[in-house]
Formats: sequence, C-alpha cells, structure tokens
Amino acid sequence: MIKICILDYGLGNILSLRNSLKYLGFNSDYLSNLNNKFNFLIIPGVGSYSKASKLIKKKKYIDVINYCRKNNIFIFGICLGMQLLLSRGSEFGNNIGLNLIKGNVDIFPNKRSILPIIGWNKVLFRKNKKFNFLNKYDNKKFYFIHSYVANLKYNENILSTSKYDKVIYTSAILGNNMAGVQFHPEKSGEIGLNFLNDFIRNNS
Amino acid sequence: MRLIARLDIKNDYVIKGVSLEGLRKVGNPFQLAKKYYNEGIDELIFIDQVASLYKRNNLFNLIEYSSKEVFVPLTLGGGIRNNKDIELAIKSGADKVSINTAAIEDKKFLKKAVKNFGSSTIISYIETKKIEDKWMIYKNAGRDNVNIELIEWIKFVQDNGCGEIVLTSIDFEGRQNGFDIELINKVYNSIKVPIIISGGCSSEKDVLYLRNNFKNASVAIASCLHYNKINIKNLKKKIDKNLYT
Repeated sequence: MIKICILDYGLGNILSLRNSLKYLGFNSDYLSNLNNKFNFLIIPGVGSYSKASKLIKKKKYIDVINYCRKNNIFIFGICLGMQLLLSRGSEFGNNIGLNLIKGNVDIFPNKRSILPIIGWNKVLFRKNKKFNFLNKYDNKKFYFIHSYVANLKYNENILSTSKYDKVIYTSAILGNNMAGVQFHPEKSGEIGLNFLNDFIRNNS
Repeated sequence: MRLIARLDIKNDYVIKGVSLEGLRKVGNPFQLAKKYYNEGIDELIFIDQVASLYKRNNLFNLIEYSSKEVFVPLTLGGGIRNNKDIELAIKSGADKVSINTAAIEDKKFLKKAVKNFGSSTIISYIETKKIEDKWMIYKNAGRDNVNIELIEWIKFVQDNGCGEIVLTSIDFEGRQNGFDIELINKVYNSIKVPIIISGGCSSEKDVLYLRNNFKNASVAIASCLHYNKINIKNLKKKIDKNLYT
C-alpha cells in the first residue's frame, strides 16, 4: 500500500496538498505524525528560498531525506519544494539547497516581464522511458505561481519546459529516484489531480 | 488571462449589490464555489463583505471545506488584519489572502506580511472611485474615502512587495455595464505585478476586450456568473485562442 509523507517544514499551504491526496484516495500524513513508515515523500512549499533552505536544513528533515536515499523512496518536490532539490538559490543572497540535483534557482531572466508568473501555462514533457505515462499530459496547462526558475547544470535532468514572455524555462526536473515540478498539480483542477495520481502510482 | 470567480459573502450567503451596496442574496458559497470549479474556473476569491466593519473574517470554515473539494487557487479577503489571520487563512486551506483596510491603517503591515508569507501569497485589494478629477482609495468595502490617491497607493503596495493587485471600480461594481476602461487605461502602465480587474463585467465581450487590449490583466467576475450570463467553458475556449504566451 502507498503511504505518502508530506514534509511539513513550515512553509505554504500544505492542507490543499493533503486534501488533494485524500481526494485521490491516498493514505498520507505529515512527517510530524509519521515514524519513517512511508514509501513516497513530497516536499511542498510556497514562499522564499532563503527562508525555506534554512528551515529544511534541520537535522530531522535531512535525516528523512537520507533515509529516502538509502531506502529507494521516491522524492517529489512541488514549486519551492522542487527548487530546494537543487544546489543553490539566489533570492535574498546566496542560499544552499539540498544539492540532490545540480543547478541553481535564479530570478526569471526577462527583466521587463511581469512577475510573479501567475497563471495556467503549457508544460512540454520530454520523452522519457521511465516516465512514459507523462505523454498524456504533454502540452497541457497547469497552474504556476513563481518568480524564480531552475537553471540546471545537466540537460538530462530536464523533465519539462514551459514558456513565459517568449522565454523557455525548465518547469519540471528529474534525478535519480526523484523529480520536481515548478507548477502546482494540487491546484491545477482535474488534470492536475490526474497527474498527481499517475505520478505517485508510477513511482512508489 | 485568468478567469476568476469572485464570491462576496455576508452571513453565510453569497450576496451581490451595486457599487458594493444594496446587497441581495444569490446563493450558498460552498455550492457556488464547487459549481464554478466544475465548470472550469481558474481561481476563486472569497470576500467577507462585513469583516472589516466588525474587525474579523468569518470565512475560515468555508475555506476549509472548500479546499477539500475545489482544487484551484483559493484567495481569502476581508478583515485580514495581522499575521495571525494570514496564518489561520493558510492553515484553513487558502493559497493567498487579499488585504485592503489593514494595509491602509497600518502602513507597515503589507511589508511584514510579504516578508513572512512571500509576495505570491499577498494580494493588494484596491477599491477606488473617481472624485472630481482624481481617483481616490476607499476602505471598509467602499464605505470610507481615506484621502490617498490611487497612483500613489499602487506605487506603495508594489514597493512593499505585494504579488498581485485586485482593482475594483466602486462606481462600476455590480452594474453589469462593462469594465471601467478609463480607470484601467489610467493605471495600467504603472502596474508591474499581475493585475485582476473587478467590477462591471456584463458579458463575454467585456472580458475578451480586456484580454485583447491589456496583456497583463486577469478578471474577477461575480454577477455574470451568479446570473448565468457567462458560460465559463465557452469563454475560456475563446480566451485560449490567440494565446499570447
């Protein structure tokens, strides 16, 4: 049976995520209530990278992430949670991330663009054998809210791209037994819920 | 462009007035939220119309059960006066809060809220009315002129880091006579964050006009949805054609 752990390190609306998992019929709980008995980890988050990167460095969270790495438990980051998987973020100074996937998080590159990016944008998934089930979500719209974007060191870590103001940027990332999405599947209506469902069932 | 449903709420009912006055009951907030979600709305804004007057928001429960069945962004507004209110809103399932009166009464509040919850969580909700030649800011759901000019206020809320602006034209609100284009033209170029236009929508045509002329504008609509003048699915299809992104 799938048991999902939501890493509640203290930022953002995690109730909606929990509600969407419940709605999909998953058994989920916050880390504070679990005792390492789960087989899928979600790192959520909305807010500032500098604050989040400090909060997540607490020993209990780092322990959980190491536990997942050791036991082949899939790690899935959403929005700020995805950004935390990367090496470094430049919002309010230089902040070190979890460095599980090589790359930086920087302000959206077009200086004249309206920020934050808020709204429904298309996601173009790259072909990937392990993630074949994503084909049906290719070119579909998901809800985004962010000002900072992932700049990956290696192209092979790019799972999807999106376009805003003529700039193409990475909107989902992929690592060894982990992935992250810049958009919010739990806030993207029916299609987002289906995506979340498929993603968890194919990786746990 | 995002199509946002605006639910103004008083004593457990969605209500609708004209120029924020003469309120009429139009339905149950939870049922309407679910209905608009099922029809494909992009977001929902719940505004407690009497909260500022009584210094409290009464919609935390509504947000809590809505977030169990409505999976698009939810914004809570009305009577959000301090960081505790914002925290409670988020814990109840809100993704964002919209703030007006409290930001006017305590000029440090907006900045503090942004620092604690991130700019993408904080919406500046603005109500304005043209007095002689000047657009002035109002608080307490359009009741009190606070003697601040609109352009000045827009600069202030952006400098303090709000992530979005909802702009309501008090004179056009609820009249279903079209959006206040004069107002939008006046401020559009000074707005550097996503803007949501509210007040006056009469038909699909009004929304499409905005979409064609103001790239950065989204809309919050109420009467047109409550009185079935707009079909969300059809309108979204039209908005999607010629996407600018």
